[in-house]
Amino acid sequence: MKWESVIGLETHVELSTRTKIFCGCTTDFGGEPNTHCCPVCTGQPGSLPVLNRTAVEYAALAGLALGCEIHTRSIMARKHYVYPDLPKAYQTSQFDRPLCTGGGVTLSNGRRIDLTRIHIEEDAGKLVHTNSELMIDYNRGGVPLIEIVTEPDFRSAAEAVEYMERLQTTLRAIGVSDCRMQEGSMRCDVNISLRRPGDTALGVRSEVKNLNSFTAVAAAIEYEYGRQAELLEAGELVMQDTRAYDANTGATVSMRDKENADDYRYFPEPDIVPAELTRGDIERLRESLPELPESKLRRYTEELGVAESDARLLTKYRLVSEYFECAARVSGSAGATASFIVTQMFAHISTESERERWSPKADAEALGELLGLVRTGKISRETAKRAYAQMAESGGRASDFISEADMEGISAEDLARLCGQAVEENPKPAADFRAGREKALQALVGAVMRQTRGRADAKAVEAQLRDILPGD
Amino acid sequence: MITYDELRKIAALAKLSLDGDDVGTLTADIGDIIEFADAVAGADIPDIEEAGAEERYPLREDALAKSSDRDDILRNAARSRDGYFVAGKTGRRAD
Amino acid sequence: MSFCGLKETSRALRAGKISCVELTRAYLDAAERRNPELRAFISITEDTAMRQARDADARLREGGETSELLGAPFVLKDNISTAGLRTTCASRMLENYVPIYDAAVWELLRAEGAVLIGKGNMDEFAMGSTNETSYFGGARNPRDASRVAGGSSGGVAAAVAAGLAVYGIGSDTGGSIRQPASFCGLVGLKPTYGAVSRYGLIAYASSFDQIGPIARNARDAATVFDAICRRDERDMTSRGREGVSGAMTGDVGGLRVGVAREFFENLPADIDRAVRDAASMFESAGAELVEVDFPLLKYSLPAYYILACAEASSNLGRYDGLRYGYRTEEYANLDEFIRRTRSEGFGAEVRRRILLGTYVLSAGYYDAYYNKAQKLRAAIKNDFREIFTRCDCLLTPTAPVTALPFGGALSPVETYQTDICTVPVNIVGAPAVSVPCGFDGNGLPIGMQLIGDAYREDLLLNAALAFEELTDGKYLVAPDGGM
Repeated sequence: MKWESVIGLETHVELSTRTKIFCGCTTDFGGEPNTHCCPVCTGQPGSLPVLNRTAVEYAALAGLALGCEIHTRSIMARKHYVYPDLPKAYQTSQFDRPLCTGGGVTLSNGRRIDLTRIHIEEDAGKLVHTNSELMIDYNRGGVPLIEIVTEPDFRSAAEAVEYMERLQTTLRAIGVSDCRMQEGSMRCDVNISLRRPGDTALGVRSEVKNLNSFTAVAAAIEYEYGRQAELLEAGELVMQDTRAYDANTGATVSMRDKENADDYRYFPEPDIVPAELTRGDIERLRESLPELPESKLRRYTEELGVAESDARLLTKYRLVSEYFECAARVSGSAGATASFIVTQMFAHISTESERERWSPKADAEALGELLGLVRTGKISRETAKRAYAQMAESGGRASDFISEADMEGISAEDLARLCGQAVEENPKPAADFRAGREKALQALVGAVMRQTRGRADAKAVEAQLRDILPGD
Repeated sequence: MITYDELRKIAALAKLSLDGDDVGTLTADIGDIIEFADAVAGADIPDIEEAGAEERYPLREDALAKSSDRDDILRNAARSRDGYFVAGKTGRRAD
Repeated sequence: MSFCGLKETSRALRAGKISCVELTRAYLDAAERRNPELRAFISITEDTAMRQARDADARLREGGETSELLGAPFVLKDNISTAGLRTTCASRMLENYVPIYDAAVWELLRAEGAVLIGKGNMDEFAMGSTNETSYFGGARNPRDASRVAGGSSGGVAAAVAAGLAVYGIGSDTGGSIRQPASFCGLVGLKPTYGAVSRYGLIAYASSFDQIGPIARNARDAATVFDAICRRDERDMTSRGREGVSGAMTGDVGGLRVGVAREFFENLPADIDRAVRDAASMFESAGAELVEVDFPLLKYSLPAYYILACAEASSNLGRYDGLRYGYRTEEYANLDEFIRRTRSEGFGAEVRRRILLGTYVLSAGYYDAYYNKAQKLRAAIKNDFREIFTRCDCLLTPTAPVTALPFGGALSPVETYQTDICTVPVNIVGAPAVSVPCGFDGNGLPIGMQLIGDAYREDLLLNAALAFEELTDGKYLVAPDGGM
């Protein structure tokens, strides 16, 4: 690469509190316009903000999960600019005394992304543009946000996307946000400048705002790289700029002219007493943190012997990992349980939102029991799959779907006899297999399985058939 | 003292227009007020250690309260439609 | 009848001498008659008043424990939100604004059975010291119609002094309760910052604003204060305190009254004499006079104006014509719509203060002005902490002037200078009361100010009561008004 990209991200995350940051209106998404509002969040004269404790705690939890220092005293500040979605003509945010500083994320390529800060702020309302008008809905106004700011440590779009995914998994895991980019509960601004590899000084950067999908983040970075590189190669200067990304064209477009660059005139918010968390509060919050996805992944693979690809999938969803752990405890075989969930259950619980909600009819203990029977050899994997299919429909326990007969294993003599019988009764597949067609074996396996009504273990059957066939 | 140009920039930030004003008088008046405010520069005071809050206020519990009736929210708006506030002619987003 | 305080009014109602409906009718009629000339009210709330009067009569018939406020007609400054009743802040910007919610103070007084006669005239958005910046014209001083009632709660003071309300509720950011009280011969209390909820008070300067009573005498001020000094969880800065009426003994034996010479520099002779005489009066009743210093007084005014205007410029940003209030007719785009709406909706003084506030917060000036003023604020608070280790209350004049003439053509800065004694109190957040203590050569009332340590309204009102008793109430607005 002729140029090195130097990228920093500012991510806005909506906290999943029940109510808004300064009033008791609901934070529910959607709803008829202006029905989740009150004098406070519409900035009526004489209204006053009252800070939501859970918003502060969720912000502190996010900071703890990302390794930040949490400050006992942080100050809200007014950030002034005029736009119709901001009813007070200022956004209550934080300026020089944010809640969290420091912290960071280590990517899979070993590179460390440092965070500058995390601060609390309020969201603005939503605008609907028509040809000649703006329509304004303040339902979203006042929803609590955290803004997570990184140092300009990224060097590629892939790194940026991985970081965003990690943020998403982590914040979901600790329950402070659902981080759904398509619903707007997670949005990203990208700051990007270019420089010659080896240079330490930063080039002039442009900012691309309000990216609402991982692909948009990547595409905007790629586009900006191209645009800035072209300018620099032609000997021209990159102008410091604020840009918007157009998903239709894949290009970024300049949003505003420098002349009217805002002076935010920050000053401490006089209506809100400084948020004070004691050291004790912070420690209590730290202790309440659930296990974070990265350490859970290590535990599954190193201690429980789960395959890494299975573990990555399980740790992506908090409820799935809780389910898995419970089932694994009961079944006694973590690896097989993990694999079962990822193959059998994920097959029909297939969308992101279903997996996040994770409410299978088969409860964890029942699954664990079922797989425990497989581990002790009491039933075959096929029997287990069949029983699970029924449990997935109607819930219940293993014993509801497994008869005494199923429980009986097939003795070695029976197995040998049945295999011999199958070979006799199915001469063509047997001949094909002997002639070298691997696939033909499955017909014989199937015949034995049918005979045993699935009680036999398919692998054992296959092994037996391989044993008897060639030499016949 | 304040120059006309500085005043214009401040007025733009404050979303006030200067036409209709006697700009000369306004510039002079604001200049006088700023001069009056300049007196603080003469105060020689040490930095005082910020006192922590004497009492910790309990923050608000995250409990749902009844929102306002939409009719009330829109009651004082001169223009509204389909439940939205309406502003004529698009402006540019400042941030 | 109409110049009685709370005690007489309450007695008459309970004794059945007059019904609340009859009483209220009389007050409303007087208000209608006198308001065109006095301009004390922006709105006279007849329907509300009559309804509340009927309710009060019903409650009186039931008997039982009720407050003295039950059935007593009062006036509420027009920057305090009353749902369903126009609340204008004396501005074209809110000329037709009808709030959708009630201020905490209004809720509390309604619950006590108070009867709202009307919304009081004021300086526009509480910015001013003479009531002359009101969009509706300034309130006149009942004592002398060629003079102002004071500001910014001038209309409230005028109504009470003219007998058109038994008491009033004002707001005070730099002296706006105390100064009109002193101009009109009334008792005006600015409570400790945080004693009374600001929920529903249309904000001027958030860290200075406080709501308080303007009344005929110290006991009335205490009774009203007791009804409104409640902690409100809708205002994070509110703490509330317990009632003070029980502490009103009138005894000032052992009270240490501080006097700082800085407050007495360049005072007109009659104001100087009246306040010093009051000091001697306290001494004769067993108080001890203590000399204290307040060298930072001269920085108080510029520090106040920097910080208050900064907060005001921020608080008034929301008035853009989109959700409520005045909107301009002609505009070519949204930006022009907002600028014209604001420039046409706000008066000149409000626009000046918004510009100053924007200036002192802007990049490049924040450190020299806003930051410096904040440091001054901290230093002044520190000085007052020191002062209150040496005395229990500080005695000063309320203002270096008596009621100014209308159209006095003072420049903005000259007008600001008249706040010199009151502004330090708001900087510190301390409680202070203005008490009538004399008359000048023109017969205009002179007020003295007693400043106390945080949450010492009990001490201040008690001292005010003592002074009234020592002087046989001769400086209070007489039952027949003298007008």
